[in-house]
Amino acid sequence: MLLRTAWRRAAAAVPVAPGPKSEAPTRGLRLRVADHAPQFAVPSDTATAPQAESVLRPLYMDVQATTPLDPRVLDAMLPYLVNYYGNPHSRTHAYGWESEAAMEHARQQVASLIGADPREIIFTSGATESNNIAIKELEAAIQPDTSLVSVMTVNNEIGVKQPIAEIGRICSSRKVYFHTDAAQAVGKIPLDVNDMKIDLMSISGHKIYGPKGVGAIYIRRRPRVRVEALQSGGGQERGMRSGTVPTPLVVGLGAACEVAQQEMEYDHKRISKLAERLTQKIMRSLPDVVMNGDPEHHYPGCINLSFAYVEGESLLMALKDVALSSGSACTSASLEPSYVLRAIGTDEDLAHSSIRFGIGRFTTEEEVDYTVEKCIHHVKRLREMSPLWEMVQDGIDLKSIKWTQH
Amino acid sequence: MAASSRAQVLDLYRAMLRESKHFSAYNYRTYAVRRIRDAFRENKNVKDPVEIQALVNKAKRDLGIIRRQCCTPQALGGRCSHQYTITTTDVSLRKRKVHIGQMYSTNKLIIENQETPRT
Repeated sequence: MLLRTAWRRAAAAVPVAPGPKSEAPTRGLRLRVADHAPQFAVPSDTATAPQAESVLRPLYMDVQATTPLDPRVLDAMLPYLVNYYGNPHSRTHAYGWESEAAMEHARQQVASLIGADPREIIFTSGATESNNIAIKELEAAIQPDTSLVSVMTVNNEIGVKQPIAEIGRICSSRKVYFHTDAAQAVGKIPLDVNDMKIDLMSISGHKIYGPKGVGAIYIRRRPRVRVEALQSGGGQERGMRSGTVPTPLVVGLGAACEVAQQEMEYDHKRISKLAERLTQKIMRSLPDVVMNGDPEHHYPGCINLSFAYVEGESLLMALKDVALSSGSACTSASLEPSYVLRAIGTDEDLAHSSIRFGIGRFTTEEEVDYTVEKCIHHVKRLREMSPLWEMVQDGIDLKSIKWTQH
Repeated sequence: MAASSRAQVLDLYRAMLRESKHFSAYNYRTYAVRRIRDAFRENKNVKDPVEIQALVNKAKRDLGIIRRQCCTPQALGGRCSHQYTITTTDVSLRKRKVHIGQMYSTNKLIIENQETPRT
């Protein structure tokens, strides 16, 4: 008893250092733990103490890289992670039957979102696996008269929507297979595989507020599209993708598709409004900002802006309170500017200064305003430091300069 | 079951808003509050009783989802919270001390520093 009071007195004398205080596991970027108390004690001197601000997490504006799990999806998945753990291919007991029923229900939910028949949906580990399955057939059977057209429905870097229905019509009239990677488009814009004459489609779970590690491939049955299996084994998924189907993940994918179908209109309206707000505010306050991608055929939730005379990476680092990216996540490790921007003919210097803003279902107006404010502030600051900007202000045309070699 | 009265719908609306405020993640919390308000507002002029009942049932299901993930003491009449267990065919609630959202919660978002206390 005496020891405990002595310890408590000693502990009170020591300045409070960040460290685990409760049973909750510490995760994330900082080593501070959220209290279980209803109100998080925000330090009152946040204005003066930058360290206090550093324990708060950044805003998430990178939905093209991945999306948070919708609570409705989590709710659908959890029973299958706790009690309904049967293998859906077990035919002899209730655990297997209930798991199979859930898997088939999820298949129906995915099919209904894209206007397909459930028998045309094969579950995979993600859109990348689906893409590989779709084009493997091409490599195996390349002849002058068979070919495959593969197009992204919505580009993940600049948000441009491809004219899928027109491409589908052309392909079907020339008897050419048409595959589309709809990872960024499913659940966000209306898709119908029959109206758009799509033969193969890749679907990704974690781009539509579903779990990571799951996706699907749509394979048309009428007229039959033959694909070769990438992985062989027990013959599950009609022999096209062997391996136990992960019930909790596909239930999550199914739930995400169903929620997306219900929320598509509401989300699209809201995201368009927020995107308009973001671009208008930035363009009004800053000169020399270019939006990459066709403004008309554009998915509003993916905004790619180039800020002239500012280096993209330095702007990203400056915007440390907002999770953003320049170019796609799959190429973020390299220093090359985005191949997409180069392909659409963007100048080299503008390609290096592009930032991608992602607006999703859970993005708030406050987050957009905060991002805009910080972006404007840092672009102005970086431009002040830029000698190129100084030259432009003096009226010098940068393209007329002959840079000497040293 | 008698058709849902105006009072019942309002009670449901209030309950959903109240529970949603307990989401510990900023983005889920703001989404839930906003979506509930917009959905009830959008459907306020629906006259068909069958459609009203379907909407009310959906709202009740969503309220259940929110409760399971927020696990407020009020939702359980002051007792401990839920775990996902299955009895026969349904997901039912058993009293155990599991807070899904709070168990894995992390630090607040940078923007919550500036948020007014109304949310």
